[in-house]
Amino acid sequence: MTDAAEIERIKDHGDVRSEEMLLNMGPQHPSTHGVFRVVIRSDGEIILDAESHIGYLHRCFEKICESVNYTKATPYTDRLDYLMAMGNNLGYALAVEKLLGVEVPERAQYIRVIVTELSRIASHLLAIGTYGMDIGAITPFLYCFRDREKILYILETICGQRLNYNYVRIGGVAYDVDDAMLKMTREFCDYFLPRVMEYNDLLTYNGIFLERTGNVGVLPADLAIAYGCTGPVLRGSGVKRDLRKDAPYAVYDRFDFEIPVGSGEAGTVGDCFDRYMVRMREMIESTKIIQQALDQIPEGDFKHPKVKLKPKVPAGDAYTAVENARGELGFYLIADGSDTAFRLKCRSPAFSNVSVLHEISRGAMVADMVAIIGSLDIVMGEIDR
Amino acid sequence: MSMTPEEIANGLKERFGEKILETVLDTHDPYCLVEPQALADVALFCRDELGFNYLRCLSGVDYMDKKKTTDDLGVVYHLGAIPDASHLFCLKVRLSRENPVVPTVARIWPTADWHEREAWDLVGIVFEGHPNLTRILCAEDWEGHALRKDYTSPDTYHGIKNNVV
Repeated sequence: MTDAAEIERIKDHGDVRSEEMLLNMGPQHPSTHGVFRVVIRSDGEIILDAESHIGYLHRCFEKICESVNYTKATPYTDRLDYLMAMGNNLGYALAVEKLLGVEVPERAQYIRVIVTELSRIASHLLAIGTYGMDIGAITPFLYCFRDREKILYILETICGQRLNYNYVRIGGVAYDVDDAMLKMTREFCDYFLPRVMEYNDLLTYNGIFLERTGNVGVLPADLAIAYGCTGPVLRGSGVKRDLRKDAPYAVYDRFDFEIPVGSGEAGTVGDCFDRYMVRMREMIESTKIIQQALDQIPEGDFKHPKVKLKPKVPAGDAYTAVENARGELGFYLIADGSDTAFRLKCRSPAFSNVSVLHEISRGAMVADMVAIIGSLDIVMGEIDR
Repeated sequence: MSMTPEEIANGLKERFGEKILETVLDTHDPYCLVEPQALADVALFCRDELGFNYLRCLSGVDYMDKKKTTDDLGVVYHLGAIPDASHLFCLKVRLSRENPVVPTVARIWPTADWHEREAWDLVGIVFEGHPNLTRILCAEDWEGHALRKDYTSPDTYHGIKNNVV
Protein backbone atom coordinates (compact mmCIF):
# COMPACT_ATOMS: atom_id res chain seq x y z
CA MET A 1 0.00 0.00 0.00
CA THR A 2 2.63 2.51 0.98
CA ASP A 3 5.02 2.19 -1.93
CA ALA A 4 6.28 4.90 -4.26
CA ALA A 5 3.42 4.44 -6.71
CA GLU A 6 0.92 4.97 -3.93
CA ILE A 7 2.61 8.24 -2.98
CA GLU A 8 2.43 9.40 -6.59
CA ARG A 9 -1.25 8.47 -6.72
CA ILE A 10 -2.00 10.42 -3.58
CA LYS A 11 0.03 13.41 -4.75
CA ASP A 12 -1.65 13.53 -8.15
CA HIS A 13 -5.11 13.09 -6.75
CA GLY A 14 -7.37 15.93 -7.81
CA ASP A 15 -6.14 19.47 -8.19
CA VAL A 16 -5.11 20.02 -4.59
CA ARG A 17 -1.41 20.76 -4.45
CA SER A 18 0.34 18.96 -1.65
CA GLU A 19 3.22 20.57 0.18
CA GLU A 20 6.23 18.99 1.74
CA MET A 21 7.04 19.58 5.35
CA LEU A 22 10.25 19.15 7.30
CA LEU A 23 9.71 17.50 10.64
CA ASN A 24 12.38 17.28 13.30
CA MET A 25 12.24 14.18 15.46
CA GLY A 26 14.71 14.35 18.31
CA PRO A 27 17.42 14.75 19.49
CA GLN A 28 15.31 14.73 22.67
CA HIS A 29 12.43 12.42 21.93
CA PRO A 30 11.15 9.55 24.09
CA SER A 31 11.12 7.02 21.26
CA THR A 32 14.51 7.72 19.77
CA HIS A 33 16.07 5.77 22.67
CA GLY A 34 18.81 8.26 23.32
CA VAL A 35 19.91 11.47 21.65
CA PHE A 36 19.20 10.66 18.04
CA ARG A 37 17.75 13.06 15.52
CA VAL A 38 15.85 12.28 12.35
CA VAL A 39 14.84 14.99 9.92
CA ILE A 40 11.74 13.74 8.17
CA ARG A 41 10.59 15.20 4.87
CA SER A 42 6.92 14.43 4.82
CA ASP A 43 3.97 14.90 2.54
CA GLY A 44 1.06 15.01 4.92
CA GLU A 45 1.31 11.81 6.91
CA ILE A 46 3.65 10.06 4.51
CA ILE A 47 7.42 10.04 4.90
CA LEU A 48 9.17 10.97 1.66
CA ASP A 49 12.66 10.83 3.06
CA ALA A 50 14.40 10.70 6.39
CA GLU A 51 17.88 11.84 7.27
CA SER A 52 19.58 10.56 10.41
CA HIS A 53 21.85 12.76 12.46
CA ILE A 54 24.10 11.07 14.99
CA GLY A 55 27.07 12.07 17.10
CA TYR A 56 25.42 13.74 20.08
CA LEU A 57 27.15 11.32 22.47
CA HIS A 58 30.48 11.28 20.68
CA ARG A 59 33.43 11.10 23.05
CA CYS A 60 36.04 9.60 20.70
CA PHE A 61 36.32 6.25 22.40
CA GLU A 62 38.93 5.21 19.85
CA LYS A 63 41.22 8.11 20.75
CA ILE A 64 40.87 7.34 24.46
CA CYS A 65 41.98 3.76 23.78
CA GLU A 66 45.15 5.09 22.16
CA SER A 67 46.06 6.97 25.32
CA VAL A 68 45.33 4.45 28.10
CA ASN A 69 46.76 0.94 28.39
CA TYR A 70 44.86 -2.17 27.35
CA THR A 71 43.47 -2.96 30.79
CA LYS A 72 42.34 0.58 31.44
CA ALA A 73 40.45 0.63 28.15
CA THR A 74 38.11 -2.18 29.24
CA PRO A 75 35.77 0.06 31.31
CA TYR A 76 35.38 2.32 28.27
CA THR A 77 34.07 -0.60 26.25
CA ASP A 78 31.31 -1.00 28.88
CA ARG A 79 29.97 2.33 27.81
CA LEU A 80 29.61 1.46 24.14
CA ASP A 81 26.53 -0.72 24.19
CA TYR A 82 25.65 -0.09 27.80
CA LEU A 83 22.75 -2.54 27.67
CA MET A 84 25.05 -5.46 26.94
CA ALA A 85 28.32 -4.41 28.49
CA MET A 86 29.43 -8.02 29.06
CA GLY A 87 29.39 -8.62 25.32
CA ASN A 88 31.52 -5.53 24.68
CA ASN A 89 34.03 -6.60 27.35
CA LEU A 90 34.17 -10.02 25.74
CA GLY A 91 34.69 -8.70 22.22
CA TYR A 92 37.47 -6.39 23.36
CA ALA A 93 39.15 -9.07 25.49
CA LEU A 94 39.07 -11.54 22.58
CA ALA A 95 40.60 -8.93 20.26
CA VAL A 96 43.53 -8.35 22.61
CA GLU A 97 43.92 -12.05 23.39
CA LYS A 98 44.07 -12.86 19.67
CA LEU A 99 47.19 -10.71 19.28
CA LEU A 100 48.59 -11.83 22.64
CA GLY A 101 48.13 -15.42 21.51
CA VAL A 102 46.69 -16.69 24.80
CA GLU A 103 44.09 -19.38 25.26
CA VAL A 104 41.76 -18.57 28.14
CA PRO A 105 41.10 -21.36 30.72
CA GLU A 106 37.94 -23.38 30.17
CA ARG A 107 36.17 -22.28 33.31
CA ALA A 108 36.63 -18.65 32.31
CA GLN A 109 35.23 -19.43 28.85
CA TYR A 110 32.10 -20.90 30.40
CA ILE A 111 31.68 -18.02 32.82
CA ARG A 112 32.01 -15.64 29.86
CA VAL A 113 29.28 -17.48 27.98
CA ILE A 114 26.94 -17.47 30.98
CA VAL A 115 27.30 -13.77 31.75
CA THR A 116 27.13 -12.78 28.09
CA GLU A 117 23.93 -14.72 27.50
CA LEU A 118 22.40 -13.33 30.70
CA SER A 119 23.27 -9.90 29.38
CA ARG A 120 21.73 -10.71 26.02
CA ILE A 121 18.44 -11.66 27.69
CA ALA A 122 18.53 -8.46 29.76
CA SER A 123 19.17 -6.41 26.64
CA HIS A 124 16.39 -8.07 24.65
CA LEU A 125 14.00 -7.66 27.60
CA LEU A 126 14.64 -3.95 27.56
CA ALA A 127 14.29 -3.82 23.78
CA ILE A 128 10.97 -5.66 23.88
CA GLY A 129 9.62 -3.76 26.87
CA THR A 130 10.41 -0.33 25.49
CA TYR A 131 9.20 -1.39 22.06
CA GLY A 132 5.81 -2.20 23.51
CA MET A 133 5.81 1.19 25.17
CA ASP A 134 6.69 2.92 21.87
CA ILE A 135 3.66 1.29 20.32
CA GLY A 136 1.46 2.24 23.25
CA ALA A 137 1.44 -0.77 25.58
CA ILE A 138 2.82 0.15 28.99
CA THR A 139 2.15 -3.04 30.94
CA PRO A 140 4.63 -5.37 29.14
CA PHE A 141 7.39 -2.88 29.98
CA LEU A 142 6.79 -3.45 33.69
CA TYR A 143 6.86 -7.22 33.29
CA CYS A 144 10.07 -7.08 31.26
CA PHE A 145 11.76 -4.84 33.80
CA ARG A 146 10.68 -7.12 36.63
CA ASP A 147 12.61 -9.99 35.03
CA ARG A 148 15.50 -7.87 33.83
CA GLU A 149 15.95 -6.83 37.43
CA LYS A 150 16.55 -10.46 38.40
CA ILE A 151 19.36 -10.71 35.82
CA LEU A 152 20.92 -7.47 36.98
CA TYR A 153 20.81 -8.81 40.53
CA ILE A 154 22.69 -11.97 39.49
CA LEU A 155 25.30 -9.93 37.63
CA GLU A 156 25.58 -7.59 40.58
CA THR A 157 26.37 -10.51 42.87
CA ILE A 158 29.14 -11.57 40.51
CA CYS A 159 30.88 -8.27 40.01
CA GLY A 160 29.18 -5.60 42.09
CA GLN A 161 27.85 -3.62 39.15
CA ARG A 162 24.48 -3.44 37.48
CA LEU A 163 25.30 -1.94 34.09
CA ASN A 164 28.98 -1.21 33.48
CA TYR A 165 30.51 -4.45 34.68
CA ASN A 166 34.19 -4.33 33.66
CA TYR A 167 34.03 -8.06 34.42
CA VAL A 168 35.34 -9.90 31.37
CA ARG A 169 39.02 -8.99 31.41
CA ILE A 170 41.96 -9.72 29.16
CA GLY A 171 42.97 -13.29 29.94
CA GLY A 172 39.81 -14.36 31.75
CA VAL A 173 37.29 -12.77 34.08
CA ALA A 174 37.77 -10.50 37.07
CA TYR A 175 36.41 -12.79 39.81
CA ASP A 176 35.44 -16.43 40.06
CA VAL A 177 31.79 -17.38 40.45
CA ASP A 178 30.59 -19.45 43.39
CA ASP A 179 28.03 -22.24 43.62
CA ALA A 180 25.41 -19.92 45.10
CA MET A 181 25.55 -17.75 41.97
CA LEU A 182 25.34 -20.77 39.68
CA LYS A 183 22.32 -22.00 41.64
CA MET A 184 20.72 -18.59 41.38
CA THR A 185 21.28 -18.58 37.62
CA ARG A 186 19.76 -22.04 37.26
CA GLU A 187 16.71 -20.97 39.23
CA PHE A 188 16.40 -17.94 37.04
CA CYS A 189 16.42 -20.09 33.87
CA ASP A 190 13.62 -22.31 35.23
CA TYR A 191 11.69 -19.24 36.24
CA PHE A 192 12.25 -17.39 33.00
CA LEU A 193 11.19 -19.86 30.30
CA PRO A 194 7.46 -19.77 31.18
CA ARG A 195 7.66 -15.97 31.38
CA VAL A 196 8.29 -15.75 27.64
CA MET A 197 4.81 -17.21 27.11
CA GLU A 198 3.51 -14.49 29.37
CA TYR A 199 5.05 -11.77 27.20
CA ASN A 200 3.57 -13.41 24.15
CA ASP A 201 0.11 -13.37 25.75
CA LEU A 202 0.55 -9.79 26.85
CA LEU A 203 2.06 -8.22 23.79
CA THR A 204 3.06 -10.36 20.84
CA TYR A 205 -0.33 -11.58 19.71
CA ASN A 206 -2.21 -8.46 20.69
CA GLY A 207 -4.26 -7.29 17.71
CA ILE A 208 -3.17 -3.66 17.91
CA PHE A 209 0.47 -4.66 18.20
CA LEU A 210 0.21 -6.91 15.16
CA GLU A 211 -1.41 -4.11 13.18
CA ARG A 212 1.26 -1.61 14.18
CA THR A 213 4.25 -3.85 13.42
CA GLY A 214 3.19 -6.22 10.63
CA ASN A 215 4.07 -5.03 7.10
CA VAL A 216 5.74 -1.94 8.57
CA GLY A 217 9.36 -1.01 7.82
CA VAL A 218 10.02 -3.98 5.57
CA LEU A 219 13.74 -4.61 5.13
CA PRO A 220 14.55 -7.03 2.28
CA ALA A 221 17.46 -9.40 2.87
CA ASP A 222 19.71 -8.06 0.09
CA LEU A 223 19.27 -4.48 1.30
CA ALA A 224 20.08 -5.55 4.85
CA ILE A 225 23.33 -7.20 3.73
CA ALA A 226 24.31 -4.24 1.53
CA TYR A 227 23.89 -1.87 4.48
CA GLY A 228 25.86 -4.15 6.76
CA CYS A 229 22.93 -4.88 9.07
CA THR A 230 23.57 -7.72 11.47
CA GLY A 231 21.99 -9.34 14.48
CA PRO A 232 18.20 -9.51 14.92
CA VAL A 233 17.77 -6.86 12.20
CA LEU A 234 19.39 -9.12 9.60
CA ARG A 235 17.87 -12.32 10.95
CA GLY A 236 14.46 -10.67 10.94
CA SER A 237 14.87 -10.46 7.16
CA GLY A 238 15.18 -14.23 7.03
CA VAL A 239 18.97 -14.54 6.81
CA LYS A 240 20.45 -17.22 9.04
CA ARG A 241 23.62 -15.55 10.23
CA ASP A 242 24.90 -15.72 13.77
CA LEU A 243 28.60 -15.58 14.58
CA ARG A 244 28.04 -17.78 17.63
CA LYS A 245 27.17 -20.56 15.19
CA ASP A 246 29.00 -19.57 11.99
CA ALA A 247 32.35 -18.56 13.46
CA PRO A 248 32.20 -19.82 17.04
CA TYR A 249 34.29 -18.07 19.68
CA ALA A 250 34.59 -18.82 23.41
CA VAL A 251 32.95 -22.28 23.70
CA TYR A 252 29.79 -21.64 21.70
CA ASP A 253 30.46 -24.65 19.46
CA ARG A 254 29.67 -26.94 22.40
CA PHE A 255 26.07 -25.89 22.82
CA ASP A 256 22.95 -26.92 21.05
CA PHE A 257 20.80 -23.96 20.06
CA GLU A 258 18.75 -22.65 17.18
CA ILE A 259 19.05 -19.40 15.24
CA PRO A 260 15.57 -17.89 14.94
CA VAL A 261 14.89 -16.04 11.72
CA GLY A 262 11.96 -13.95 10.54
CA SER A 263 9.35 -15.71 8.46
CA GLY A 264 6.75 -13.04 7.85
CA GLU A 265 4.24 -14.29 10.44
CA ALA A 266 2.45 -10.96 10.66
CA GLY A 267 2.81 -9.94 7.03
CA THR A 268 6.04 -9.61 5.09
CA VAL A 269 9.44 -11.11 5.83
CA GLY A 270 11.68 -8.44 7.33
CA ASP A 271 8.99 -6.25 8.87
CA CYS A 272 9.08 -4.78 12.37
CA PHE A 273 7.23 -7.76 13.80
CA ASP A 274 9.85 -10.20 12.49
CA ARG A 275 12.68 -8.24 14.09
CA TYR A 276 10.75 -8.14 17.34
CA MET A 277 9.93 -11.84 17.22
CA VAL A 278 13.54 -12.84 16.54
CA ARG A 279 14.51 -11.15 19.81
CA MET A 280 11.72 -12.89 21.66
CA ARG A 281 12.82 -16.31 20.41
CA GLU A 282 16.50 -15.58 20.99
CA MET A 283 15.80 -15.17 24.68
CA ILE A 284 14.63 -18.79 24.80
CA GLU A 285 17.73 -19.94 22.93
CA SER A 286 19.98 -17.93 25.26
CA THR A 287 18.32 -19.57 28.23
CA LYS A 288 19.01 -22.97 26.69
CA ILE A 289 22.67 -22.03 26.22
CA ILE A 290 22.95 -20.92 29.86
CA GLN A 291 21.40 -24.16 31.10
CA GLN A 292 23.85 -26.24 29.06
CA ALA A 293 26.77 -24.12 30.20
CA LEU A 294 25.72 -24.58 33.84
CA ASP A 295 25.70 -28.36 33.31
CA GLN A 296 29.12 -28.41 31.69
CA ILE A 297 31.08 -25.77 33.61
CA PRO A 298 34.36 -27.30 34.83
CA GLU A 299 36.50 -26.47 37.83
CA GLY A 300 39.75 -24.62 37.26
CA ASP A 301 41.29 -21.21 36.78
CA PHE A 302 39.13 -18.21 36.07
CA LYS A 303 41.95 -16.28 34.45
CA HIS A 304 45.09 -17.03 32.54
CA PRO A 305 47.96 -17.21 35.06
CA LYS A 306 50.51 -15.63 32.71
CA VAL A 307 48.57 -12.59 31.52
CA LYS A 308 49.86 -9.55 33.37
CA LEU A 309 47.82 -6.62 34.56
CA LYS A 310 49.56 -4.39 32.02
CA PRO A 311 50.12 -6.72 29.07
CA LYS A 312 52.46 -5.74 26.28
CA VAL A 313 50.84 -6.84 23.06
CA PRO A 314 53.12 -7.98 20.20
CA ALA A 315 52.99 -5.86 17.06
CA GLY A 316 50.37 -6.89 14.56
CA ASP A 317 46.81 -6.25 13.55
CA ALA A 318 43.65 -8.33 13.66
CA TYR A 319 39.90 -7.94 13.34
CA THR A 320 37.83 -9.80 15.91
CA ALA A 321 34.06 -10.01 15.89
CA VAL A 322 31.48 -11.31 18.34
CA GLU A 323 27.72 -11.62 18.13
CA ASN A 324 26.33 -9.00 20.45
CA ALA A 325 22.65 -8.40 21.20
CA ARG A 326 22.51 -5.96 18.28
CA GLY A 327 24.71 -7.82 15.85
CA GLU A 328 28.33 -8.10 14.84
CA LEU A 329 30.51 -6.14 17.23
CA GLY A 330 33.98 -5.96 15.74
CA PHE A 331 37.26 -4.59 17.03
CA TYR A 332 40.08 -3.91 14.58
CA LEU A 333 43.16 -3.64 16.74
CA ILE A 334 46.61 -2.53 15.60
CA ALA A 335 49.28 -3.12 18.23
CA ASP A 336 52.82 -1.79 18.12
CA GLY A 337 54.42 -3.86 20.88
CA SER A 338 53.75 -1.42 23.70
CA ASP A 339 51.13 -1.64 26.46
CA THR A 340 48.79 0.75 24.63
CA ALA A 341 46.82 0.19 21.46
CA PHE A 342 48.20 1.91 18.36
CA ARG A 343 44.73 2.03 16.81
CA LEU A 344 41.46 0.47 17.88
CA LYS A 345 38.53 0.74 15.54
CA CYS A 346 35.18 -0.36 16.87
CA ARG A 347 32.68 -1.60 14.32
CA SER A 348 29.45 -1.17 16.19
CA PRO A 349 26.41 -3.13 15.03
CA ALA A 350 23.81 -0.45 15.73
CA PHE A 351 25.81 2.09 13.68
CA SER A 352 25.27 0.03 10.53
CA ASN A 353 21.77 -1.05 11.52
CA VAL A 354 20.52 2.52 11.88
CA SER A 355 22.13 3.60 8.61
CA VAL A 356 19.38 1.72 6.77
CA LEU A 357 16.65 3.79 8.43
CA HIS A 358 16.03 6.17 5.50
CA GLU A 359 15.56 3.21 3.15
CA ILE A 360 12.95 1.38 5.18
CA SER A 361 11.02 4.39 6.43
CA ARG A 362 10.48 5.88 2.96
CA GLY A 363 6.79 5.70 2.14
CA ALA A 364 5.72 4.82 5.67
CA MET A 365 3.38 6.90 7.83
CA VAL A 366 4.92 9.37 10.26
CA ALA A 367 3.48 7.45 13.21
CA ASP A 368 5.24 4.31 11.97
CA MET A 369 8.62 5.99 12.32
CA VAL A 370 8.46 5.28 16.03
CA ALA A 371 7.72 1.61 15.36
CA ILE A 372 10.58 1.38 12.86
CA ILE A 373 13.21 3.04 15.06
CA GLY A 374 12.15 0.86 18.00
CA SER A 375 12.43 -2.30 15.94
CA LEU A 376 16.04 -1.48 15.01
CA ASP A 377 16.84 -1.41 18.75
CA ILE A 378 19.50 1.26 18.69
CA VAL A 379 21.83 2.18 21.53
CA MET A 380 23.39 5.58 20.99
CA GLY A 381 26.35 4.80 23.24
CA GLU A 382 27.83 2.53 20.61
CA ILE A 383 26.64 4.44 17.54
CA ASP A 384 28.31 7.67 18.64
CA ARG A 385 31.20 6.06 20.48
CA MET B 1 32.42 -22.60 -1.94
CA SER B 2 34.61 -20.48 0.18
CA MET B 3 38.02 -19.77 -1.30
CA THR B 4 41.35 -19.80 0.49
CA PRO B 5 43.10 -16.44 0.93
CA GLU B 6 45.74 -17.64 -1.54
CA GLU B 7 43.16 -18.25 -4.25
CA ILE B 8 41.61 -14.84 -3.64
CA ALA B 9 45.00 -13.10 -3.79
CA ASN B 10 45.92 -14.97 -6.99
CA GLY B 11 42.59 -14.03 -8.53
CA LEU B 12 43.22 -10.36 -7.73
CA LYS B 13 46.79 -10.47 -9.05
CA GLU B 14 45.67 -12.15 -12.24
CA ARG B 15 43.03 -9.52 -12.87
CA PHE B 16 44.81 -6.39 -11.68
CA GLY B 17 48.53 -7.21 -12.02
CA GLU B 18 50.65 -4.23 -11.06
CA LYS B 19 47.83 -2.56 -9.16
CA ILE B 20 48.25 -5.10 -6.38
CA LEU B 21 51.32 -3.74 -4.64
CA GLU B 22 51.83 -6.33 -1.96
CA THR B 23 50.25 -9.55 -0.71
CA VAL B 24 50.59 -10.81 2.85
CA LEU B 25 48.92 -14.12 3.66
CA ASP B 26 50.83 -15.22 6.76
CA THR B 27 48.97 -13.04 9.26
CA HIS B 28 45.69 -12.87 11.20
CA ASP B 29 43.80 -11.16 8.39
CA PRO B 30 45.41 -11.99 5.02
CA TYR B 31 45.42 -8.90 2.83
CA CYS B 32 46.41 -7.28 -0.43
CA LEU B 33 47.85 -3.78 -0.53
CA VAL B 34 46.14 -2.06 -3.44
CA GLU B 35 47.11 1.03 -5.38
CA PRO B 36 44.67 3.72 -4.14
CA GLN B 37 43.32 4.77 -7.53
CA ALA B 38 42.44 1.16 -8.42
CA LEU B 39 40.62 0.50 -5.13
CA ALA B 40 37.08 0.98 -6.41
CA ASP B 41 37.64 -1.41 -9.32
CA VAL B 42 39.21 -4.01 -7.05
CA ALA B 43 36.32 -3.65 -4.60
CA LEU B 44 33.74 -4.09 -7.34
CA PHE B 45 35.58 -7.18 -8.59
CA CYS B 46 35.63 -8.55 -5.03
CA ARG B 47 31.90 -8.06 -4.68
CA ASP B 48 30.75 -9.30 -8.06
CA GLU B 49 33.29 -11.97 -8.96
CA LEU B 50 34.66 -13.14 -5.62
CA GLY B 51 31.38 -13.14 -3.69
CA PHE B 52 32.16 -10.59 -0.98
CA ASN B 53 28.67 -9.19 -0.60
CA TYR B 54 29.27 -7.74 2.85
CA LEU B 55 31.71 -5.05 4.01
CA ARG B 56 32.36 -5.93 7.64
CA CYS B 57 34.47 -2.98 8.63
CA LEU B 58 36.17 0.05 7.14
CA SER B 59 38.89 1.64 9.25
CA GLY B 60 40.84 4.78 8.63
CA VAL B 61 44.32 4.59 10.13
CA ASP B 62 47.10 7.08 10.76
CA TYR B 63 50.32 5.04 10.58
CA MET B 64 52.60 7.79 11.92
CA ASP B 65 54.56 6.20 14.79
CA LYS B 66 56.46 7.89 17.59
CA LYS B 67 59.80 7.74 15.75
CA LYS B 68 58.13 9.19 12.64
CA THR B 69 59.52 6.48 10.37
CA THR B 70 56.38 6.92 8.28
CA ASP B 71 53.65 9.49 8.16
CA ASP B 72 51.28 7.59 5.87
CA LEU B 73 47.55 7.38 6.31
CA GLY B 74 45.65 4.31 5.26
CA VAL B 75 42.30 2.61 4.93
CA VAL B 76 41.62 -1.01 5.82
CA TYR B 77 38.65 -2.83 4.31
CA HIS B 78 37.51 -6.05 5.95
CA LEU B 79 35.43 -8.01 3.47
CA GLY B 80 33.08 -10.81 4.35
CA ALA B 81 30.18 -12.75 2.99
CA ILE B 82 26.71 -13.56 4.24
CA PRO B 83 25.83 -16.28 4.99
CA ASP B 84 29.26 -17.88 4.40
CA ALA B 85 31.15 -16.60 7.47
CA SER B 86 34.46 -18.28 6.58
CA HIS B 87 34.83 -16.35 3.30
CA LEU B 88 37.05 -13.48 4.43
CA PHE B 89 39.66 -11.19 3.00
CA CYS B 90 41.14 -7.80 3.63
CA LEU B 91 42.19 -4.92 1.39
CA LYS B 92 44.50 -2.10 2.44
CA VAL B 93 45.55 1.16 0.86
CA ARG B 94 48.34 3.52 1.93
CA LEU B 95 47.86 7.22 1.27
CA SER B 96 50.19 10.18 1.53
CA ARG B 97 49.54 12.63 4.32
CA GLU B 98 49.53 15.58 1.93
CA ASN B 99 46.94 14.15 -0.42
CA PRO B 100 44.96 11.37 1.24
CA VAL B 101 42.47 10.59 -1.53
CA VAL B 102 40.93 7.22 -2.33
CA PRO B 103 37.88 6.41 -4.49
CA THR B 104 34.69 5.76 -2.58
CA VAL B 105 33.10 2.33 -2.28
CA ALA B 106 29.79 3.70 -1.01
CA ARG B 107 28.04 2.69 -4.22
CA ILE B 108 29.46 -0.82 -4.05
CA TRP B 109 28.53 -1.45 -0.42
CA PRO B 110 26.05 1.19 0.86
CA THR B 111 27.24 0.52 4.42
CA ALA B 112 30.51 2.24 3.44
CA ASP B 113 28.63 5.54 3.18
CA TRP B 114 28.62 6.13 6.93
CA HIS B 115 31.92 4.36 7.56
CA GLU B 116 33.66 6.62 5.04
CA ARG B 117 32.09 9.71 6.56
CA GLU B 118 33.47 8.55 9.89
CA ALA B 119 36.94 7.98 8.41
CA TRP B 120 36.81 11.48 6.93
CA ASP B 121 35.60 12.96 10.21
CA LEU B 122 38.13 11.31 12.50
CA VAL B 123 41.16 10.57 10.30
CA GLY B 124 40.72 13.09 7.48
CA ILE B 125 40.72 10.74 4.52
CA VAL B 126 39.02 12.08 1.39
CA PHE B 127 36.79 9.62 -0.40
CA GLU B 128 36.53 10.74 -4.00
CA GLY B 129 33.00 10.54 -5.39
CA HIS B 130 31.29 10.05 -2.04
CA PRO B 131 27.65 11.24 -2.23
CA ASN B 132 27.80 13.28 0.97
CA LEU B 133 31.23 13.51 2.56
CA THR B 134 30.40 15.51 5.68
CA ARG B 135 31.28 15.07 9.32
CA ILE B 136 29.16 12.45 11.04
CA LEU B 137 30.25 12.14 14.68
CA CYS B 138 31.84 15.52 15.39
CA ALA B 139 30.03 18.82 14.99
CA GLU B 140 29.99 20.28 11.49
CA ASP B 141 32.24 23.20 12.45
CA TRP B 142 34.81 21.09 14.29
CA GLU B 143 38.39 21.65 13.19
CA GLY B 144 40.96 18.94 12.61
CA HIS B 145 40.70 15.18 12.65
CA ALA B 146 40.89 13.66 16.10
CA LEU B 147 42.47 10.32 15.26
CA ARG B 148 45.47 11.87 13.53
CA LYS B 149 48.52 11.19 15.67
CA ASP B 150 49.57 14.85 15.50
CA TYR B 151 46.14 16.17 16.49
CA THR B 152 45.86 18.72 19.25
CA SER B 153 42.44 19.54 20.60
CA PRO B 154 41.34 23.17 20.31
CA ASP B 155 41.68 25.47 23.34
CA THR B 156 38.19 26.84 22.99
CA TYR B 157 35.07 25.72 21.21
CA HIS B 158 32.20 28.25 21.03
CA GLY B 159 33.46 29.90 24.18
CA ILE B 160 33.87 26.63 26.10
CA LYS B 161 37.38 26.38 27.50
CA ASN B 162 39.33 23.20 26.83
CA ASN B 163 42.79 21.90 27.77
CA VAL B 164 42.46 23.54 31.21
CA VAL B 165 44.41 21.77 33.95
